[in-house]
Amino acid sequence: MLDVRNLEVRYGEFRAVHGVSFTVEDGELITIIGANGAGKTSILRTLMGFQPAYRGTITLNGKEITHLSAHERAKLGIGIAPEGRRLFGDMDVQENLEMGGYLIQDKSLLKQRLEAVYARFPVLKSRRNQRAKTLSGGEQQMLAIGRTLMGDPPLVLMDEVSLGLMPKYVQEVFRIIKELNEEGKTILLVEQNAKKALSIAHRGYVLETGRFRWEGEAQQLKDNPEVQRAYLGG
Amino acid sequence: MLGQQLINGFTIGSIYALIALGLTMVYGVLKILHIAHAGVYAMGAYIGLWVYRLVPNLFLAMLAAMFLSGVAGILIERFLYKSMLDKSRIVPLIASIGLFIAMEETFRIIAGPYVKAFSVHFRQKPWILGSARISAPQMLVFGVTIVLLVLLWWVITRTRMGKALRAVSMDREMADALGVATEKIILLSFFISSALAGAAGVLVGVFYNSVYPTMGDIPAYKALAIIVLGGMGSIPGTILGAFLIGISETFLIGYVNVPLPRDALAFIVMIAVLMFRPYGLLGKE
Ligand SMILES: Nc1ncnc2c1ncn2[C@@H]1O[C@H](COP(=O)(O)OP(=O)(O)OP(=O)(O)O)[C@@H](O)[C@H]1O
Ligand SMILES: [Mg+2]
Repeated sequence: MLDVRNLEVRYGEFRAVHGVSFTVEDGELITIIGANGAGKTSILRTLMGFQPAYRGTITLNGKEITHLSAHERAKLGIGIAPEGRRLFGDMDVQENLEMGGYLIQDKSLLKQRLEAVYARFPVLKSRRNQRAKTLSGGEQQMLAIGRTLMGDPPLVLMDEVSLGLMPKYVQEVFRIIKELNEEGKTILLVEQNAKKALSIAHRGYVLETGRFRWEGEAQQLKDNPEVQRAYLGG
Repeated sequence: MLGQQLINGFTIGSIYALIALGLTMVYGVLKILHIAHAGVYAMGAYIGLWVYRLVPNLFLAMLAAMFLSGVAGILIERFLYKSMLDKSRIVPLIASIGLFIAMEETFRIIAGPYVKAFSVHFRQKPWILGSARISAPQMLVFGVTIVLLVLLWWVITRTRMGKALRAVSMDREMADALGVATEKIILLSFFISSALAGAAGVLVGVFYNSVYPTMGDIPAYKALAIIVLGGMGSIPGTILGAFLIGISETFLIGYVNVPLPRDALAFIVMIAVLMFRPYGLLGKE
């Protein structure tokens, strides 16, 4: 589904990502793990089209999308739950979800999606008329994921969606990610919580200062002593 | 006396609201101070006057002024600001001031430096409410303002495009990622903003029976004070700020006999409010 070749990301002269290559196959749940500042967000932002690729190519379903704008990529089926959630704080829950379904022309389909998201996240339904910025952290994260699901993108990019949540919510969020993948969504998950991410992912990449240090089956990475020492707390 | 002051205050406030709303909307989507907005307002007055002289129908003059001002707004975004957005914010600000001056000079060259009368004969008699009266031009100002504000409210809260416009002003990148063609939405916000300014221009022209090249000077800086007062980018805050300033001004002239220029008041109110609410009346950090 997604094929990334020699992707390089720069901020001015500073190289945040040094030519990484990876693939995400249909139906896979892939994780990129790494410490603060490793370049995880930079990769996702470049995949979505927020940040230009300095070098390299991004191919989605055989079509090169390296130079498309974010809204063109959205039309081709990429959705993002970005770092920091990025909700529309002054809009209410329902309006945020409607924005998630912005590309849907058919009113009844929009309604159907809205109901599906409310069914998955009942708490959002009870807060439908509340402004997004007044939700709790966990609720905001549900809304950020729900907003992404509104557009039903085949490929979902998720950036540290468990960050800053209470343990109860962290559990819940990982359960939902796994569930979405089992329902057929292809997911690229960026995480600092390596243990949890590797426990649900099929394959993983370990990013260190802009380069992949290890890659492989999730189980393999979990069993790798070096990865364990550096990322899994022993 | 009090009633009359309030009516006069709301009249001025209505006009300020129509002008300042556009400024706040443009600030919302592009985060730039669009000084030339006041030039668009004056242009609206000239277009309204010109059409009215061709066909003495105020409704038609208003529509033409709004439409052409809106188009001017689109052209300004497309050909002036668009290429400057990745530069420091001082760049579009200076360009905007330059454009404003150039527009005023253009009005002077085309229409002459003198005040032109925009005389409309109203058959409508004033309404008397106790000791206060609402004149026909005031009714016009109120009527147009109410219709436009309701329309604006409907567009931004009920339509898909309007919601996208709000989303873009909250987080442009995220709106883009959800499929919003943000450049089109920005053009839309320039069209709406500039059309409102054009309407304000016609209203002021008719209300004071005068149109002149520098009529945008005072609104240019007063609208800035109003949007800062209201909370940059906040539409309800701007409306509140506009009425607050309009009413304060009429009360100042009506009651307090201090040798203070009326046009300085907007800034005094602004500074007073910012001391207690640093982000303005309804603004956020
Ligand atoms: N807009 C920017 N301008 C300059 N440098 C940036 C910018 N964004 C990120 N960087 C730098 O690029 C590097 C990678 O940042 P990035 O945000 O991609 O890391 P990350 O892996 O997502 O980190 P975290 O886990 O803290 O979110 C960091 O050194 C960061 O300081
Ligand atoms: Mg990050």
